[in-house]
Amino acid sequence: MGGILLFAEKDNLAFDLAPKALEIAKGTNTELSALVLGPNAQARAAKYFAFGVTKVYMNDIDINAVFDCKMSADILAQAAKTSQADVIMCSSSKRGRVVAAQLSQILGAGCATNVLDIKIVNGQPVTVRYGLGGATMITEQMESAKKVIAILPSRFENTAATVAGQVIPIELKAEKSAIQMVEKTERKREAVDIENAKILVCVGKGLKKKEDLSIIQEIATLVKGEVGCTREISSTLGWLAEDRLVGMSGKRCKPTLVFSLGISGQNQYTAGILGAKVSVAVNTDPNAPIFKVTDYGIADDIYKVMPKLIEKLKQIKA
Amino acid sequence: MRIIVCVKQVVDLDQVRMNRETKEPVVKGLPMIIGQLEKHALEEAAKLKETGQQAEVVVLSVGTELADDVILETLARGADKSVAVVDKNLGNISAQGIAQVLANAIKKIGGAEVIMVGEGSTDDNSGQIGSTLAQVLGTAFIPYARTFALNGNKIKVTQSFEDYFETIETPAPAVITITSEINEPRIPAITDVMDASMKPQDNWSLSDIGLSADELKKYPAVKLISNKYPEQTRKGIMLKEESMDKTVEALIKNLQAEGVLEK
Repeated sequence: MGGILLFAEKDNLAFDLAPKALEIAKGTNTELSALVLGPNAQARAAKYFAFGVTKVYMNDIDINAVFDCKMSADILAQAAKTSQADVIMCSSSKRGRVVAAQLSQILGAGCATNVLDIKIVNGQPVTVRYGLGGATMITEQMESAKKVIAILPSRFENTAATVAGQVIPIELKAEKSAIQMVEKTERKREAVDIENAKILVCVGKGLKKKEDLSIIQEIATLVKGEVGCTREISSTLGWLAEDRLVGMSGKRCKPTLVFSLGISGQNQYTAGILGAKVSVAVNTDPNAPIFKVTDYGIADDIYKVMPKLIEKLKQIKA
Repeated sequence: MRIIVCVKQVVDLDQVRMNRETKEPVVKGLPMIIGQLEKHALEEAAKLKETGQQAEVVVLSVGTELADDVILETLARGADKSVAVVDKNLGNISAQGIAQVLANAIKKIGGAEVIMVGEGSTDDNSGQIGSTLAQVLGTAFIPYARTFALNGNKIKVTQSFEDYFETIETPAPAVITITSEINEPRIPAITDVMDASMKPQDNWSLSDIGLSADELKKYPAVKLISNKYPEQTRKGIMLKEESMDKTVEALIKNLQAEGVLEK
């Protein structure tokens, strides 16, 4: 198998995935290189050596100013050719995922997106991802020599020793994009790490109004936990930042205790709490699917349960 | 002008059950439904027409078999006509193969100024079809639309990324992927449902769009090794005491006994 080329639109995304890329490079007996694009590429390139990346291809071309999927895919295809990589590993961020697919079409490569993990089976990389809306785990293998693998943003622990690698400037050509930026607004972000929270208090559409988030927050404060939510609450209603989104399109969490309050339990959400040690759910509908993945359930209105819960938790504190 | 909305028919995920022995999902024989994001795409196309825009909305689906009631639902949701590419050779085809099928069908329909797909399918959610299709068609690709507007030949979309909302303009044609943030799909009125059965429906095979099973085989295949429910052992204890006070007390006692809540 030819080499592995690692790329992400931001260095931090690439560094999070680099240990997994290195593991696969070692397991398939090949070399790990990376592609660095944009301002200060030369200076940034050297940082990749700390992750065991031996060759860093670089070019100052900026693909982040205006996102043009085709342009990114074309550039990556050129870099894949220059580096003679057989496997291109990138982040399955929103941008990364669509670039991966377009790139695979250009290269005639197989493509796996939203990958959770990669394993080596019989010397070949095998990918794992969610199936059926988050209900199942699909393990699959690309039969083509060339592969594009987009891994969901997730931090893999770096255990590599720093290598004395090479920085290699390469020529890349981009056509002028027809996409014009009109306005760019930074999203409301919250500096919260629900992936590593010990206790999570998650809320769904059982919450009647935005103001009631204060009740959820009060419970979270009492149990020293973080507030998490379903896609409905963050993406559709915009009541909470997507940094708090738990599930297949958000964060995959592993708390010791999770409360799912007013959440029906679509696979989309439950995929994110598979790793919880103890799962508690409150929902009016006793047949809600959430109770299938619950250790302790209360089939009642969250507005009846929450005040009691607060009262009892305060008694523990007192 | 024409808008083509690509609709994936998926099994109703709420009805999928686990085979207890193999841990595999049982999907055979389950009813098909319309993909969730495709409802938003159809709603957006319908809204555009309501603003007075002269547009023909064509819904395009492909598969080994397609459910008539789902096609009728897409027509009730505002599409003017449906095109179904049904062929027994369309099973287990990679995103690239499906993109080629869609592209050929789109060409036979006569092309479109706007092609809408969901940002990811309800079942597979790989999110690969949009950009792959744009590559095959050689058109612009605009993912993750949370707003959509059309001014003459100009498409204006606000894209929803993790870090920014980016509003861009690009000349038509373009392939646009739709997010759930874009609108709230309506439930079709009875009159819409009745009208739906009067609308034209085309049924094509692979050869009708100039493709063969052999041609689809040239796309890189992905071999399924396993598709299983994750091992999960939950206690499934439902708490109900004589009062809410006692129920919540029981919950707290259990959590303390588990060692996950302080005493």
